[in-house]
Amino acid sequence: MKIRSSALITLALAAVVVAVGLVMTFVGGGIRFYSQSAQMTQLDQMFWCMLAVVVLMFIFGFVRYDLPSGLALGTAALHDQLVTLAVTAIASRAFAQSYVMPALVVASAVFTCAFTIPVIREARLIGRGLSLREHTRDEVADMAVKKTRPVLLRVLVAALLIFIAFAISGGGLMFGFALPLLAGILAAGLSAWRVSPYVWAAAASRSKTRR
Amino acid sequence: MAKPTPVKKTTANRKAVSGVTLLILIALTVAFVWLGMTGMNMDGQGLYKLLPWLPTTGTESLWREALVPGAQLGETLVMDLAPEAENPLSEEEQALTIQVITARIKDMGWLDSRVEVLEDGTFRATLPKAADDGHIDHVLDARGVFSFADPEGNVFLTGENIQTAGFGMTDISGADYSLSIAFDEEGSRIFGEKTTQLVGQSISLMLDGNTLVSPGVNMPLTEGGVSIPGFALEPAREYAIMMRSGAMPYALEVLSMASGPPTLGEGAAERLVIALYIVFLLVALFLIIRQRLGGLIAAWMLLVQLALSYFFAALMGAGFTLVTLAGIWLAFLVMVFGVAMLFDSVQEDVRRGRSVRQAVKESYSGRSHGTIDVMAALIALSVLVIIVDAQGVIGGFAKVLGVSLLVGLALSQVALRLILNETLTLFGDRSGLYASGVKKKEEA
Repeated sequence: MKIRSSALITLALAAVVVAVGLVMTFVGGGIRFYSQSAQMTQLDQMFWCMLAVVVLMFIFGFVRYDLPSGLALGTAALHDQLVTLAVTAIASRAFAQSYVMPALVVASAVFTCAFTIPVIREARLIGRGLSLREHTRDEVADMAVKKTRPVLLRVLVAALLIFIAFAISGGGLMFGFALPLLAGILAAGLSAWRVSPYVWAAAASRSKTRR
Repeated sequence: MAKPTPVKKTTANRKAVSGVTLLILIALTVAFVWLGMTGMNMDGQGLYKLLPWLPTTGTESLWREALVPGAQLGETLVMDLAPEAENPLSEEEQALTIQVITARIKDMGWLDSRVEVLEDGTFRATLPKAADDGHIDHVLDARGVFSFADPEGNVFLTGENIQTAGFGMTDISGADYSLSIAFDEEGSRIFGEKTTQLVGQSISLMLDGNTLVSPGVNMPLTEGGVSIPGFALEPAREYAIMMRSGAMPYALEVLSMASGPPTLGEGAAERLVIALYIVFLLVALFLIIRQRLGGLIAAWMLLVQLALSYFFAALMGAGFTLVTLAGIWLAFLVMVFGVAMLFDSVQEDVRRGRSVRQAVKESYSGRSHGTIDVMAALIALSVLVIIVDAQGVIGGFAKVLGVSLLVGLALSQVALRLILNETLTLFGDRSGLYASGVKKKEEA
């Protein structure tokens, strides 16, 4: 399974961010919360929910579409959840978090679904209608990204507007509280355009080769 | 040979039906949103009310009774508590005290409360104003050391062996409540042995050295738990909460209880309400400019989704918190995605020369399935997250998100389609009404 180099580079960068964020979460004093009581927030449930999101996205993609789509959706969910958590953990040094943080980290699944599912669907549709002798799966993935970009850009702008509405309403404290939303939006946008279509392409090429 | 007259009549009738359908739907929407903003007295005296549920910035509206604001966005109750200890508490004791107070407050459902140690070693708990029910101080100031004693007063079991506790009605009268206690392995063994010895006598349940109740023992209780009747509702609830939270190092004395501003600052809720409605207006404006009549219908559906989402959040007792708002507005975002997908597909098909009606039909049987996929995946995810974290903040978010998504799914797949078809019948299949820039391209 050969994944396009740009996707691999994006994944590698995300892995670095995730590594730094997770080290800060578990070793370096943890995520900084705005009060002593919030500091005692139990993150166990959040990790279980994150795992549930990744597993469900994989199963949904596999059952609804096929194995390559399941892999792509699972990868996107894993990427988005971990990057959101890591960015939140790193940013919490400057912007303290509230009790809402675990919910907003898991909420990045909303952006994963809204951004990645249309791209994967489109890639499958385009793939069916094209001759694979003339076009590689990576090219099909490129076309799907290009085709869905206008709609997803509109959704991205609406998501950013919602984040801005939250962020400007309660000063610096509120900006910190809403930060996981922004991290989720950016992580999902990144994975939908740079990672998951090419994971789908690589997995689809492999399954085709095997057949 | 067919006569043209009946066909014309049918078309005119169909248009009339469409017009009436649209008028009824508009009237229903206006009435629903109006009720959401003003509420309604259900009887002449105003004893039974339908509370308003749509957040507004005015202070006269009663929506805060339906969507009770949390500590971050609403008025707060600030409680200062001092430990009843001769010497200042150590850091470990302070941390344990905060942990126990936080657990008790969260157990009462006030998730966005704040507890901290002040410089003078006292504790400050900031809770939503609604937490001031006349019992909150009893829950927070008690040390919470439970013990069981025999008739001679010898303690044989302490709260450390209590695994979990709950309460429930003893009978249907609703006057008597029972405290249900489950012990750990060691506690089960000790309690079983002691109740076997004390059959025909009584045991005492004590809190901080004071006897709460002394029920008789009719039979050995070796099942690892006990249900003790004889409590009123509030004490039963308070004792169950204290048993679950564990004990503090020292009892606390309530120094003061006063009203305070929201933890996010004065006016944060009003600013947030305005900012979110501006987001709605911007999205609606964009849709109307781009999709004209189609955009207006989409904005209408988005408004209905918001009104219904707030309504169900109020019914679920979700409160006006950041968690509730995040759930409602992320579901709104998914609805925006659905609308964008639909009209993008319609516009593309119309450019290719299809009629708007054909394009809508095609879109609902093709690309719009992407919207169903996204919403179905997220609803399934919400259910899974509720199972994993039913009582926590993530579960609370998932409940609001899931319900709002169900509303969005019904609106985007049924109501939007119905209204689009009715407007197509009423105003004709004119592409210029549903997509900007399409005519020019056709002409070109």
